[in-house]
Amino acid sequence: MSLPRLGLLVGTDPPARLRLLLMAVSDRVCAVDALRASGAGPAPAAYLWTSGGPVPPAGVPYAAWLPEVDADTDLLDAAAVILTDDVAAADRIGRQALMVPASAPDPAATPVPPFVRRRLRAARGLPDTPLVRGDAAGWHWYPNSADGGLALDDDAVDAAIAVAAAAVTTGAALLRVLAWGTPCVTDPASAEALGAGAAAVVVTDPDDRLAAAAALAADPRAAARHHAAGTRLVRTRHNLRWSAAEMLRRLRLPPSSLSPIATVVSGLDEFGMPEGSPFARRIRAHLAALPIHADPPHAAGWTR
Amino acid sequence: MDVLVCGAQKPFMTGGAEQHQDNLVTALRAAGHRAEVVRVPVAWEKDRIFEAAMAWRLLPLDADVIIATNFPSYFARHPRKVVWLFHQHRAAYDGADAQADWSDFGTDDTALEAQRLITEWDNVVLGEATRLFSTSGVIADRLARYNGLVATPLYHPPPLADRLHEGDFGDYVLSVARFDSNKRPDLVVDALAQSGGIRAIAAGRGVLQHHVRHRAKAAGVADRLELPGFVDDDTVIELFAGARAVLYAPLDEDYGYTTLQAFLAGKPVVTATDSGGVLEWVEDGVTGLVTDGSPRELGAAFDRLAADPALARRLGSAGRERVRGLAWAPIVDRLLAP
Repeated sequence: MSLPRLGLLVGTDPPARLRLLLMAVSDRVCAVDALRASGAGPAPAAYLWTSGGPVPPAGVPYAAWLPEVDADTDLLDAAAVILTDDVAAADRIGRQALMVPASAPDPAATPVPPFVRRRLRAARGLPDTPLVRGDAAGWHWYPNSADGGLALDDDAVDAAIAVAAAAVTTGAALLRVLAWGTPCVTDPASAEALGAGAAAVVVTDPDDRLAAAAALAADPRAAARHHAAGTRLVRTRHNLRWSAAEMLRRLRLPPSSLSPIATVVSGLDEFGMPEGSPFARRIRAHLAALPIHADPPHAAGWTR
Repeated sequence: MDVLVCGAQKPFMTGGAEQHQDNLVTALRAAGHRAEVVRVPVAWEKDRIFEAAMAWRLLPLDADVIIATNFPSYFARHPRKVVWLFHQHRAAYDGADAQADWSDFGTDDTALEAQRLITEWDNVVLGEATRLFSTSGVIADRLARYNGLVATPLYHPPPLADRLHEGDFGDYVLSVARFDSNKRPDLVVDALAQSGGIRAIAAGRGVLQHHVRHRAKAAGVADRLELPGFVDDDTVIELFAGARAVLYAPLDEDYGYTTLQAFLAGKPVVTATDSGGVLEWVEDGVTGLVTDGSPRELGAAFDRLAADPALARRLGSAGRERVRGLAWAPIVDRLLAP
């Protein structure tokens, strides 16, 4: 018996980001094998093709890395999935696209829904609807929007983002805020760069953003809607493990029956569950007595 | 089409959810589909709440479509997963917010983390649904408030819908509900104590049955309150038919079959402003009387209907008209629409 194989049809050295994706794929109990793509041994069940590589055999599903220049449109059209690290390209391609994220938030960032924040604030004696703002002047905490902001130390920023009723920020910090599930107000450029048009409230005038955040904080339905959209964006576009799992699903390479635990790992990945989370540990404890080899085989030609 | 209706099973408990799932299967079969219920045991305590969810995640469900109904059955994976939501794990949501005695989610760190996780997981698995329906507007509103999700209410007929019938307007107010705290069975006692002399019959069973009996004695209304316990279908149909009115004032009800059954029997419903889904049906002065839920107002509503049978008849008739269009066939069509 052998593991499902993903053959590589690469024209040039794959970009570093693609290597990271393949390492995540190999964690999913799927052998990644460049040699098999040459025709020797068992045929791969699917392929990953990059620009300049051999043409995938007919009838076998494949993922295509979207080349930066001279795209072979026929090969892209026929791909089961098109991998890209470009948000605008992913939006343009639509459902066929899959993001290989260029940036990922701190894995310690766990989304906190607005109503849980409210209960947490009440339990800690914090203000009802505090806001947090991050810009060139640093991070500031607003106990309520009518007050001036209090400067935050660096080591307090994550905690403030995690309990705030809403946030205002731009640039790379937007991903950080969305990873904590904080309803957020931002500028058009930041939203576009992250593909966060539906996940954040976009306000052009910087002077209006704090008021917009206060309004967002006061509207539980809008806050819940933006929280859900923001966390979905982070989970499905900025999470390499999720992208690896989704690629295998679309290539019809399900977690192998050779390793039942792969099904469990796959299930946890769909929730964006960090490997070291308490629940993942509980699941491993449930399965510990079973004679399962949890460590997947490493890919031929790919090392950590 | 092969359809699996997915639901949670709390061992040794049967209630409205199970009836609803069974009736859905009957309706699916009547429409020519193969249909079965799949149930997996669940534990409601927060320390064990995620295990059944994960189990649903791993189940092989071979069917053309699955219809998931309640927590945690909607964790099931299927390319065509339709969710018709009866309820989420309310103890983690509105129950916690209301500090209800049936919620074990406090504001300690463990409870908040469990609440965070359950919300995030719900967002993922409910977001997977190819179609997301709820059984009432109350449930759709909870989804919007807590999860930021949009669900379409899909209203269905209650059990016994084809057998309930009108009858005389008798001398008693009827209550049909489990004797559990969220159904507020105390209210029938307290309202009787504030009313002029009408009788009441409170059918059902539950943990508060003996408590209510003692409360009635203490309030001096035991001679006006009949507590028959669980009654069979034939009996409950006749109890509805002969009632002057029906009291149904649970706390933030999801849907509330009793309301619809009362209307199908042509009876007005007395309820409270915090009774949730009941208020999607009961309009004050049109199909029933909406009170603030206090014994004084409930008792006054009893007296008003006792003194004015024409009013009871008019409200009950409007209620019957209100539920006239409820049927299973259109629901099956909506659930299985491509």
